[in-house]
Amino acid sequence: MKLPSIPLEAGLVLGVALVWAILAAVYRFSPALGMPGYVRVWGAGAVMFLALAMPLLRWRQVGH
Amino acid sequence: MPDITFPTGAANHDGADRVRLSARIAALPRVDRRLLLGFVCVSLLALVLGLGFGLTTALARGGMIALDPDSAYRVLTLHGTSAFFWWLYLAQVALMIGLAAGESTEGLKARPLIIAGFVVLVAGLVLSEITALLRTPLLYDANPDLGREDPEAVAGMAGGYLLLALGLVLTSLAAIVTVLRARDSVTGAMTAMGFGVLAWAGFLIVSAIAAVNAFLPNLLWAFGRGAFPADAATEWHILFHNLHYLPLMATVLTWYALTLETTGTTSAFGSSFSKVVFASYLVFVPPTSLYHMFLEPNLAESVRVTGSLLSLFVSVPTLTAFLVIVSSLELATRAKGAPAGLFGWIGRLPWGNPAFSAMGVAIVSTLLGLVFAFVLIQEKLAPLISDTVFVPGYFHFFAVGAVTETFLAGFLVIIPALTGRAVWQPRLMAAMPWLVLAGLVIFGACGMLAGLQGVPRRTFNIAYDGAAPAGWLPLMVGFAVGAMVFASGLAIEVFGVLRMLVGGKRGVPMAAMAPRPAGLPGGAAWTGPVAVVLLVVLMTGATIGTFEVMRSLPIVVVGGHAGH
Repeated sequence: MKLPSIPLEAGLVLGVALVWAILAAVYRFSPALGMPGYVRVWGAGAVMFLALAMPLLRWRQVGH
Repeated sequence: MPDITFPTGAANHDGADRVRLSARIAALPRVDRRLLLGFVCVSLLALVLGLGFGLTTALARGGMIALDPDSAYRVLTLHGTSAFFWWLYLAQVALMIGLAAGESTEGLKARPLIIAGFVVLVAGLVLSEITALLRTPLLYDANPDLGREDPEAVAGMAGGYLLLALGLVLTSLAAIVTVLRARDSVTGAMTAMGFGVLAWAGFLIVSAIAAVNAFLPNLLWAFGRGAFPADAATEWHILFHNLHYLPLMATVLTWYALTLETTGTTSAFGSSFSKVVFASYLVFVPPTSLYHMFLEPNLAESVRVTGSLLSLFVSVPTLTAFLVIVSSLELATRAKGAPAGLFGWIGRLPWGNPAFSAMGVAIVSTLLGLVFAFVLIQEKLAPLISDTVFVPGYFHFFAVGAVTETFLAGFLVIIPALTGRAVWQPRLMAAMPWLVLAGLVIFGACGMLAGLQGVPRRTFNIAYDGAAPAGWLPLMVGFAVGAMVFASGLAIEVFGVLRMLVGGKRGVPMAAMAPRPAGLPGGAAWTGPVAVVLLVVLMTGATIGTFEVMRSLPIVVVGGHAGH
């Protein structure tokens, strides 16, 4: 089965969202860190970059 | 030695002929050009304020003028607020929307957002400056602990920064819409610069969220709507981390634009690799944030060690971008017949162009800053020198030499395109960045040496009733002299930029002397890698040297927790 290709720009932005989401999760679930502000900011960033990736992905769906 | 003439007509690595940025900006609709000019003017106002208050601070630190403690903190607050926040972020907005507009043949999109952003940002600037001028000075981080007795000061500073955050969101959204609509109509692909602007704008929005996270609790407390923000220091550090990366990311993006504009050189590694480099800034931001917490007394040892290890990655994106730009310039210049030898090609670059000269100084200054930045983020050294004058000594290599020189270089390209006025005194303007660098070297060397000897960062009267070491004062005089030198160079540069706005001669923009891109041949370019190896050696040497200096100091430290 051939996987659909992802535009480079969308892939990069999704990668950024993934890293930020992982870091938010680490801060959320690691008691040694105990910094809820980091969870809020990195988590919000993950959501923001995910949202930014959407129009980059949608172009491929519409265009091809 | 004459600059090399770069031939015209080659395609760039985005796969299409590109009109120069300055030409695209000159062709923008009148309303867009006025908006851009508005942001440029307001940012320059913030720079002038920051420069004036900064010089006053340095002169007072050198004992050349006397300030009472309250005035000293006020001047320091005004300097940091004007320069670190308002200049650096207003200039970023100006450059971001300028570069975004350069991607589109139809000008800016979502223009109402930019207009609203302009109004909000001007209101925020006014609120911040008035508060810092008239109320209790809270320093540039708007520390609520200093304003427990003056909630209006906390409200004013927090309110100003929250307006900055809102303005950044509005203008960033407009930049994102502009570059998204400028994508290739068939493939949807973006240029490297278009993607860079998208990433930069996204990062600005996240940083605005971090600002809300840091300052909204302060504002609510000041209005009696919330508890005192006990975690203010931690929340500030999250924002502060972003504020380190953002100007550097903006700097690197501007270098990309300036390299093409002033030499016609595109990346030898292609558009896709440039996009990866821009995205890498965002990848490295969260994992490297822990080192800002090294001064927190309750931080677990495991977190300190992890933070120290991760901090080693902090400069990866900037060094990668440095390698790409320097190698691309070397390949392109050698292809035009530059002399043999490792560094001979450097002299053939267009140093007579003020924008290129400022960018060159910015690159050198970035490398100098990196050498000493790694000293400060060592877990064992940070607690010893973070509250000393070592900090302003090293970070002005970034704030002034790297970022401010780059932003001014960007202005030297876009303002002539906006106003039709030629660069004022090009030879003088090309020389001034080097004067700034000379001043920074004096300022930085004296400041860092003084910091290693224990001179405090924010205490202006360091006589300690005659008990201070005799070596402190000469170093602080050198610190002030260095500041005078670089402030003089910077003031002349700002004057030159203002002359392009008002009263300057109409003429051909400087960048128009630079030709169109050249295709890049295969070949070797060793200067960039050699510079990075040298940088790593110097970083290691500076860190080891600092450890040795700290070990040799005849000082007995008494822990605060023991009650002394």
